[in-house]
Amino acid sequence: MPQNSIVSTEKICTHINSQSILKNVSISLGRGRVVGLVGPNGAGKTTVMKSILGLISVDSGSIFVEGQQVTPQHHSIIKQKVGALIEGPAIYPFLTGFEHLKMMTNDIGQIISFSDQLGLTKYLPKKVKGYSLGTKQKLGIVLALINDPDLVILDEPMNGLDPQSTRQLRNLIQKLSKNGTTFFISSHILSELEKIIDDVIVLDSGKVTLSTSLEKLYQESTRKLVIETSAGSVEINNEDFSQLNNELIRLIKQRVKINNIRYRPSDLEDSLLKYLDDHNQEEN
Amino acid sequence: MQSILNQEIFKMTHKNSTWTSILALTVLTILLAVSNLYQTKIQDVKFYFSSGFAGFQWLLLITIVISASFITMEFEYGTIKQLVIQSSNRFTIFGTKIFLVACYSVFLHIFIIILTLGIKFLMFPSLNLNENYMHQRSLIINLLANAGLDVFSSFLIISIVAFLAAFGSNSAISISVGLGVTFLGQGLSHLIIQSMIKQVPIVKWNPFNMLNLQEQFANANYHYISHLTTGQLLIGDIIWTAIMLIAAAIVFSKRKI
Repeated sequence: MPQNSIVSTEKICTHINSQSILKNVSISLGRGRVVGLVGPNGAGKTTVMKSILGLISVDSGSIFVEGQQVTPQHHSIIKQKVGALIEGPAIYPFLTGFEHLKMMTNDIGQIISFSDQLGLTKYLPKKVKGYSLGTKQKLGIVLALINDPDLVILDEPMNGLDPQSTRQLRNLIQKLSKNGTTFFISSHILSELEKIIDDVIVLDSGKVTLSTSLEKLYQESTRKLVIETSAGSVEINNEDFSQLNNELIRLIKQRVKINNIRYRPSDLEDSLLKYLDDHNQEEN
Repeated sequence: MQSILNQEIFKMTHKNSTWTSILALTVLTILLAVSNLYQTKIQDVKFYFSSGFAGFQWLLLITIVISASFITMEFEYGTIKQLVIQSSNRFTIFGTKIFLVACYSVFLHIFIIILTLGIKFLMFPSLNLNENYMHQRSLIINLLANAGLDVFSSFLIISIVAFLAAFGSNSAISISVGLGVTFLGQGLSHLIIQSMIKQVPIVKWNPFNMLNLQEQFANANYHYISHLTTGQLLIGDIIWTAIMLIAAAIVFSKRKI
């Protein structure tokens, strides 16, 4: 296990109903880093998270959290060091939000502090069965954070959150990670994910196809050219100047007014798509 | 972080059904007592007193509902994941829940005893608690003995329902299955025993036959139906409770989450 890792998995494989879900998955989460886990639906992202938490067993390979091996039979380290939100918030409809948090901690100050930061405070006295999807999600996130865990695993935390709440969550994650908390977050909303993560892991069909820092990923991807016209914007991929030339000729022939030509920096989606395209080409 | 036991106590005390059950039990028990107010046959009043004015029978329904829903709800709400993360193993979670449900059952039995005594003093003041009734014992001893035997029966029911509920993810279905299996099970047990007792004597040891423990204590002729002595029914009750609890714990621990 790398020295500064809080979590590492070594070639974990797992099957569910004789279907291979994870294939030799080896990942390492750096201490204090915010790591994004992305991949298409059914890639195995939630299965990786559940394996780390000791919720499911793996057929082969090992999982270590804070240097201790984790299995469904032995995972006391998880109880001490990890908070999680997996497959939706784990909540009881007959309890209020405050009662949920009170079950986890006696520190009222901490309950109020986290709830304030996610705009949850005014909902705390109400029973959870009356909460909206987004409010339930916020409660689930606070439950994951409430005991100051060293590692927080969040599976699609932005589901159901409005833009303001998403920003509040982003600010909270950034603040906690500066204090040394490690985050492992899966999300399909790449535009939001890239604002908070330091590292990215791509999972596809149960295999890790990429594991790198965001900075390195951007360095290896290219920028896009954007032609801004009176009729909208046209993007040219991969600094393809011959395509730029053709587009300019087409626009001029159509007498479309060209306002500006500029570079647009790559975003996470572009970078990943480019990486995956290159990766697939190499494999073929 | 609070321990699993504290969390389970918290959940149980905050569920509406925990308290509405007590209210329903009180109302139904008092109703039966009121219906006996003008009863002229003192033996009938003594019978109802010693059986807690049918409180123990109503308690059977409540035990099934509370046991089934308390086990299944963790899978229904997806909260089993958090519980497993917070505890060392799933046996701890299951054991804690069963312990709590068993304590709730004992609490309700004590509640019925106190309620029955209250009804006696308010509505049947002339009833003499020290007067001999069945088994050459006083009325109050009969009440306490019935309560004690019913506790054993309730533990068996809890274990059977826990086993069934460990498979379920829906509280309503678990409750329905629990009720169905418990009541149909007793009827089926009678049928099977009556038709097969000579060919397969071991059928008398089926778990549903053990639920006749209290009836047999109240009516010794019941052994012609159960084909076991009261002592054998008690031992069978304890053994089957242990077997069903172990099976339920294994199912609970192996379930996919």
